[in-house]
Amino acid sequence: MNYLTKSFVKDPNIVSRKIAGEVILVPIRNNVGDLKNIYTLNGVATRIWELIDGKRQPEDIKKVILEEYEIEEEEAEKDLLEFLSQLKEIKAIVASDV
Amino acid sequence: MPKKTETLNLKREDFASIAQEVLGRGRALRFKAKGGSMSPFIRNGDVVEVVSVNGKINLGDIILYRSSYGNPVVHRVIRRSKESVITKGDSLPSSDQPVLSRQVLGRVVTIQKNGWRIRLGTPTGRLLNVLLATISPFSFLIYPSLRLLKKPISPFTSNASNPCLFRLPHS
Repeated sequence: MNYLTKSFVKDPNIVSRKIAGEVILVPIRNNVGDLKNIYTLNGVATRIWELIDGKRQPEDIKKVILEEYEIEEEEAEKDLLEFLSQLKEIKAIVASDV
Repeated sequence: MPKKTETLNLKREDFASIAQEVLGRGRALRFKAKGGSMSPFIRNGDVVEVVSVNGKINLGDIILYRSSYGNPVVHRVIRRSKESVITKGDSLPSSDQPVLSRQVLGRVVTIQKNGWRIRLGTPTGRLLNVLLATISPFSFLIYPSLRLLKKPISPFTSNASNPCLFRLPHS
């Protein structure tokens, strides 16, 4: 899948909360939100999570990250794509139809 | 990048907020219990599963609610009235402030401990809940006594942590 040209939305089976500047993700699996298996996102990941809205493509998110953080474009793109892939793996996001 | 974690010391208000959202979506919430106020039925570290309360709250139900200070609490219903329920921690000597229906987040349906799973929605589970609610006013006296009986008792030794009931006369 070419992640750069896809938009993503947050999976409805994820509850997220921003706590002390970091986001925690609580996946709901088999109708159970399990607080024993939750995910925490660091600062940049938290910002990317906030930018995932079903409209922005990863290319747009990358631009925002490049503006807000001191990071090389190549590295930003690599990290962003890896992060999106991980979010998809844990079923935190799904490809948007928009 | 997403970091998976098993234990996260959520602040009480954050826990309550997440619980409210998950349960509000009609899903169950599973978490590790903290504290010993419901001991020995729910011990620190036991895993409990909570679902939203559909219908009335029954005597003996163990409910998750927000206290008047906003703290999430898991205690047993020992009395009911039209407007509120009275809860109490099994191992505590006194009951809590009345809990209004809007404070209730959910009802405990399963407890996992030592490889066992106690289902409270079954007839046996409900009966156990009612029984424990009935003895609850005396539970702070009963449970310590039971703990004492469970300890191995040797007639040949006597100390504070291992009390001797029958002391042999010294020869």
